[in-house]
Amino acid sequence: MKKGLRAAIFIICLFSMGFLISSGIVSGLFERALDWVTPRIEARLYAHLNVFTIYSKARYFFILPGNLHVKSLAYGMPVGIFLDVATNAAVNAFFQPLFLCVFTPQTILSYILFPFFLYGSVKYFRKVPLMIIFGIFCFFYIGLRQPVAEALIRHRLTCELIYFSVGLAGLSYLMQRR
Amino acid sequence: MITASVYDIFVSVTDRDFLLPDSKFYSVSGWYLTLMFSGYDRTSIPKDAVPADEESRKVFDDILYNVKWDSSHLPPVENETNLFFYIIAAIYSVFGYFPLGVRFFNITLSVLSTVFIYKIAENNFGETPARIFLVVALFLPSQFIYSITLCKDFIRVFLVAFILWILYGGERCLKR
Repeated sequence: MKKGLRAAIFIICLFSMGFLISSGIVSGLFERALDWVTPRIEARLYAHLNVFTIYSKARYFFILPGNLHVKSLAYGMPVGIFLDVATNAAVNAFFQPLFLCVFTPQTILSYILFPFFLYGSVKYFRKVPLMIIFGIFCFFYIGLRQPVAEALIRHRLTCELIYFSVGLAGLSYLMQRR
Repeated sequence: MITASVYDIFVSVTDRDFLLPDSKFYSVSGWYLTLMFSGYDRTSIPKDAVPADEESRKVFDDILYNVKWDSSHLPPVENETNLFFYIIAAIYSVFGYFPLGVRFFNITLSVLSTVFIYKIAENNFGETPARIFLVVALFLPSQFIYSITLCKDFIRVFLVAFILWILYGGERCLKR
């Protein structure tokens, strides 16, 4: 009975997927999502490009490496450039400030906890999925949005408590296992 | 709170808020809204209610002549910046012009957020990591330093922590 039900659900899912893909609904949704995301990311890139004018009083900036701005604004947002931009944003959000300041101990702790955060995210994903997904996306978004170190530190307050709690949970679990 | 008081004295004496240069903007905007709540309108603000220092006066004049908030035309609560103006205005309406009160408010939000995440960690990760987290988070430089400023971000931090606490075990804590 159970097997029959599973087979029926499987067939219905298969047909639904086939219908959604072949009718172009999925690609339409994907294109609409891309149309929504791309101008927003481009606007942020443009802000990064003009960061010295916009935040003239800020002391520490970090901008995208190389000619990534020019490339992305000239060629649109292919997957490769999108990944470059997103990775850069995440690295900045997780690991800034890289200069010596009052936040340096916290930065060192962030570096130490990063592998444990990844482990904790996998280990506890079934228990707190929304918290982990929100934390990770929040880091990406804030990294993309803020090219000024002081503002980035302030804005990532939202998700850094999640980062430290999951990271410490991962570390504690590994230590208890040993 | 002692650190916040010392920092508040430092800012009052030197007129330099080096941790958050935007503080004056928030504080003066909140003060302007307080005057609107107290029954004044744009044309009837008394001279002694206008801030004395030049930078604050510039912000005040900008709101008065360019932004043109009035008792019948107040800013809509559409983002956290405007919400923060109203919170500052509420604090100033009770205590008068009192930036230290806003600092205490931020400290409270910061500690509450930490406690909410601690409760989530206790319910889902176990007691040991939760306790370590509590110690780390309460003395985290960014939380500690920015909570003594007039920083609007703690509203968002608190809301996120509160919603996550409700989603992950808040009801269990209340039932105990």
